[in-house]
Amino acid sequence: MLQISCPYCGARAEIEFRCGGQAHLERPGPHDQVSDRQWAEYLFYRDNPKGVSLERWVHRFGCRQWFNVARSTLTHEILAVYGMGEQPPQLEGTKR
Amino acid sequence: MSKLERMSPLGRGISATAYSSEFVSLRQQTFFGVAKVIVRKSDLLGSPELEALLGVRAPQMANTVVQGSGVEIAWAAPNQWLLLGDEAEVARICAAAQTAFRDETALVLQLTHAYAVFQIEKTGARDVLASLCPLDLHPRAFAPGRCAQSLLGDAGVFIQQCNEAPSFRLMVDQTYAGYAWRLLSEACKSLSSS
Repeated sequence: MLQISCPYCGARAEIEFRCGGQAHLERPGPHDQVSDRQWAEYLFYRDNPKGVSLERWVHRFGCRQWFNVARSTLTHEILAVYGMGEQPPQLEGTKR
Repeated sequence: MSKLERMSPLGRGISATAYSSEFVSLRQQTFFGVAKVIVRKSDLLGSPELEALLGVRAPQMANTVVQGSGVEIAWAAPNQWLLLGDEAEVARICAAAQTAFRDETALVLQLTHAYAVFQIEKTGARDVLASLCPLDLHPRAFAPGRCAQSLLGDAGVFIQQCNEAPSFRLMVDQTYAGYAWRLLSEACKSLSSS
C-alpha cells in the first residue's frame, strides 16, 4: 500500500485516496477551431510513462481536496506532491 | 394515525446499542448536534461577531479540535469546520451564524440527522479502532484535541479523541450506522475474548 502525503492532512494510507488520472490536461480551444484529432487526444489518449507519472489525486475519505502527485510507475515512489494549478517540480524522467 | 417517534440511526434493527467489557466499552450517542460551516475567506471565522458566537477562534491547524462555548469546533478541510455538541446549542449557533453570514459567501449546514455517533472508551479502544481504520492512532500521533476523517471498514468516518482515558468519538453517515455498529461491536467482542 502506498503512503501518500495529503498537502493538508499529512501522510495517510492509499485507501483514503482516489486517483483522478493524468494531471495537466488542458482543454483545447477555441472550440470551433479544434480538429477531431485534437479533441480525441484531449478526451481519450493518455500518457503511459515508464518512469515519472504526473497524476491528480483526491483525499476522498479525508479532507476531500484535490492535489497533484508525481509518482514513479517503476518503483511506486511518490516523488513530489504539489497543489492544483501549480507547475510540476523539475524531476528527472518527467515528460513535458 | 399512530404517533411519530424519533428514532436513532440504528433504529430498532439492533437490540443492543451498548457493549461493555473490562477492556473496551462502546455506545451510541443519540441526538448529538453536528453542523458544517464552509466559508470562502479563511479569516471569516476569525471575525469578532463569530468569535463571540463560538467563544473561540475556529482552528486553523488541520485535524484539530477546539472547545468553544457550548460546542466543539473541528477542522474538516481548508475553510471548513464541523460544529459538534448539544443538539439545541448547535441549532442555536447555526441560526445565529446564518444571520452573521448573510452577506458572505458561506454555507452553514445542519447535519445532526445525517450522522450516527458512537463513543468508544477504555484501554482497548485504540486496538479496536486500529483493526478497522488505517490511521496512525499511537498517542504520539493522535492525542486529545486531534480529529481526522478516514475509513472505518469501507465507510467514511470522522474520529475525534475526546480525552486521555482514552475516549474516541466516531461519526459515520447514518446510512452506515448498522454496518459500523456491527464492525465495532464484533471487534470489541473479539478483543475481549482474546
